[in-house]
Amino acid sequence: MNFATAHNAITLPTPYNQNSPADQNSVSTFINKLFENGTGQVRNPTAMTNGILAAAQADQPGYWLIDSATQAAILELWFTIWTNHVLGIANTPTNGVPATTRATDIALFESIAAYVQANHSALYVPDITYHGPVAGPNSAPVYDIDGYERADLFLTNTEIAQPRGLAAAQKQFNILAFLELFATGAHFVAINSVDDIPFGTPPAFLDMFKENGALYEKTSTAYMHSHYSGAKGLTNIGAGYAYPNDIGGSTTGTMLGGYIGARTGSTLRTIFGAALGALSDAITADDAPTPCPFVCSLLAGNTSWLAPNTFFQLEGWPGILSRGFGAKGRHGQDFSVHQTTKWNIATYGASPFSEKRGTTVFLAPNNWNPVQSVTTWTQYAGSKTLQGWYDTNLIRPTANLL
Amino acid sequence: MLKDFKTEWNAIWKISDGLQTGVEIKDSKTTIPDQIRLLKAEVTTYQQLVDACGSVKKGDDPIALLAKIEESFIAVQTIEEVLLTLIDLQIDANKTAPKGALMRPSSYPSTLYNPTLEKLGTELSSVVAAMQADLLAAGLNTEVKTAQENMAGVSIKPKVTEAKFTAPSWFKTK
Repeated sequence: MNFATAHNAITLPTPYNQNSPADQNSVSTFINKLFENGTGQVRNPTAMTNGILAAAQADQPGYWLIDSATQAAILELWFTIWTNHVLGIANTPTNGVPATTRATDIALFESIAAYVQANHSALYVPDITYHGPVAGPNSAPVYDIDGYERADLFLTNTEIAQPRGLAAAQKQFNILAFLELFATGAHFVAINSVDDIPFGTPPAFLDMFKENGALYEKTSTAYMHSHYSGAKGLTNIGAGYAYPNDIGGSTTGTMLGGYIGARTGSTLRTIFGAALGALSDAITADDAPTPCPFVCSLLAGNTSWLAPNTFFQLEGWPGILSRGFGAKGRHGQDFSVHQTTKWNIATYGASPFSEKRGTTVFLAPNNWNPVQSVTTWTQYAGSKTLQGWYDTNLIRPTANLL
Repeated sequence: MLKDFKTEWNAIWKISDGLQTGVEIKDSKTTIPDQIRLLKAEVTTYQQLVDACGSVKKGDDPIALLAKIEESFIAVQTIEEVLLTLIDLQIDANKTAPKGALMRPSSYPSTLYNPTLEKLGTELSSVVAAMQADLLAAGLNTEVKTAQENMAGVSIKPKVTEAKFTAPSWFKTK
């Protein structure tokens, strides 16, 4: 996919990738630079909005805030972790993963790769074309949708045996497309609800963040997010998980003082009185830690209370809960641009694939068929409850679909 | 203007009053009635704060009041979370309980589990979601608008084609 790139895109400092402990420190500097605006630590909202609107008008599937060399450095690392895991190769420096790579990055992409392989997952990307701006005060771009494009992400045994073959190469391109969408902030829903797949329902993608899941130890419960209403509340404890949980400064603090971090499962500890601490993490700082992983702010959660699917997306930076539900600091500034454009904002870019205009990207078994009925919004557990933020003005079906 | 959701909460208290919750949840340190009591107290606080918000006068600090309302809401949501988890556990416990356990006077002898519990959980989810939508609209001044009028009358044919993604320009096939 050909994404637009900001003209003043940020680059990763050159020392990175040399296996020196100092190199991952450069990641911290680099990530903080992505948020700098003069002396401030939030992005320039006008520049962001204008860049996104220009990318939309040019019909780009995303907008990068990092230059091409940096995209290569980050995405190749994630891609290497993913494919090494599928091919049974250890993610070590000799196999292309620098020693300074943070364990949370490795664990995340190994877990996604394992899920994709186990469940024969495919990527379903809305086939959208820029239509124009909405008339009136709303300046968010409008898109035409012409169904979905499906791309298998899992490698078959033959492809694993012949990873340099043509078939494996196409899968690799598909995985790269997934990673590009992920890195620019596309909203994903992993279809794992029995309501949507009655037979052969895959296990919940969210399980990897919960107790006994591979990512549990580095996951916190996020109190606030602006996604699925009805998943135990519009933004719910227990319906949203933040990963990794060591970003943003202090690991102490009060529940109401900052963005929340209650360890996954703390509700059960409340009920059963287990010994482990309830609140272990609170995001209190708009500052990258040193050293710093590349995935700093992944949000995942249920899409509904009963028979939920899992949503996940890379956000720009964890929110700081305060007046107006996180409407301050890095997260608040990004949210404000999101409200204007209805493009999702991630650490490294922005994406038109937002559930708020009905352009969710899906991760689902490759024999799943998205059902579109009544509205242009694909029907899945979580979307069937009308959401106040869903703006049907921002998407329209092509004549082919009517 | 924030809503106090009194009608909705009163309906929930009606469901929860006198609720029989079936078999015990083994090793649980709290109970559904305990959590409902906590919830009632916190919802009352919330409603009082919202009432105060409605009579803000010149010189008052509405932002500080809104912050207090948000904090109170978080407390409501925290209790709701524990309560919903307890309800889930209770439903499971009732489903898997031996028949004799369900014959005790404090439980429901004629059903495998008490369907009222599920109704209570659904209602709780619904009202807390609605409260948050209300707060988001107030706190962020966003346009939280219903899309119902746009939802009707369009029938869409499903269409899925196979993608042919190409590599990014920087990618070198190994």
